[in-house]
Amino acid sequence: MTPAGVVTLAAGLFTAPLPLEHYWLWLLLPLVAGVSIVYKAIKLDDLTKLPWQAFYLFVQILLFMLLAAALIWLIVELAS
Amino acid sequence: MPVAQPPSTRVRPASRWHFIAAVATWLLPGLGHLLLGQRARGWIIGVTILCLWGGGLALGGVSVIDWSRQRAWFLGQMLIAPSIAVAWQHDRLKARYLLTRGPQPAREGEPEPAFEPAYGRMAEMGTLYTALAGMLNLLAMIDVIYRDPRPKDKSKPQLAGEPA
Repeated sequence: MTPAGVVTLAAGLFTAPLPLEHYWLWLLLPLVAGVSIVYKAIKLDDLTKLPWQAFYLFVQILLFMLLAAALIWLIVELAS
Repeated sequence: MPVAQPPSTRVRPASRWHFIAAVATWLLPGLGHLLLGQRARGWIIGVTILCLWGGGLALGGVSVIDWSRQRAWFLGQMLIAPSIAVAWQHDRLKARYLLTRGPQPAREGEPEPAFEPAYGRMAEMGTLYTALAGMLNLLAMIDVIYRDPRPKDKSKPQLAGEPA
C-alpha cells in the first residue's frame, strides 16, 4: 500500500462513525479504564502501585454506576 | 503576626517553568510531565488521554467536535489543543459541503461528502470520550503546575508527626 493510501485509510477512520451502535454500553468499559488510569497516575507518588490501584478504582466506578442504574430503574418502575 | 504552617500543608509556589510545562500538556497530553522529568507518568498519562481522545474521534468521526452546535461539550474538548484543529477542519469540510451542494442529500453521480456526521449513540459516545479526555488533561495540567519534580529522599529520617 502506498503512503497516500495509508493516509487516506487513516483519514477515513475519522470521517465516518464506526458502526458500533448495538454495543454502545460496552464502550463505557475503556472509558472508565482510561479515567481510572489517568486519575491514579496523577494521584500516586509510587507508580508501581498503579495497576492494582487503577483496577480497584475501575471496579469501584463500575459498581457505583450499576448501583445508580438500579436505583434509577427502581424509581422509574415505581413511578409508572 | 504570621503563623508558620506545618510542612505538610505548605504550598510551594509554581515557577514559570511549570506554567510552560502546563501549556505543553495542553498542546500534547503528557508532554508537561516529560519536560519535568516524570517520564513514566508522562507516557502513561499521554498515551491514555490520547487513546481516549482518538477513540472518541474514531467512534463518531470529526463531527463530534463541533463548536457551533455543541458549545458546552466543546469547552471540555478544547482542553486538548488538537481538538481546536479538528473543529476548524470540521467547520471547513462542512462549509465546503454546504457551499457546493446545499443541505439536500447527494444525487447519483455526485462525489461523496468529505465526512459523514454521527447521530445517536455514536455521536454521544464520541462526544463523551473526547470531552472526558479534555477534562482529564485539565487534571494533568493542574498536576504539572503543582508537582515537585524532585524525587522524594527516602533515606531522610522521618520526623515525629511528619506524614510518610
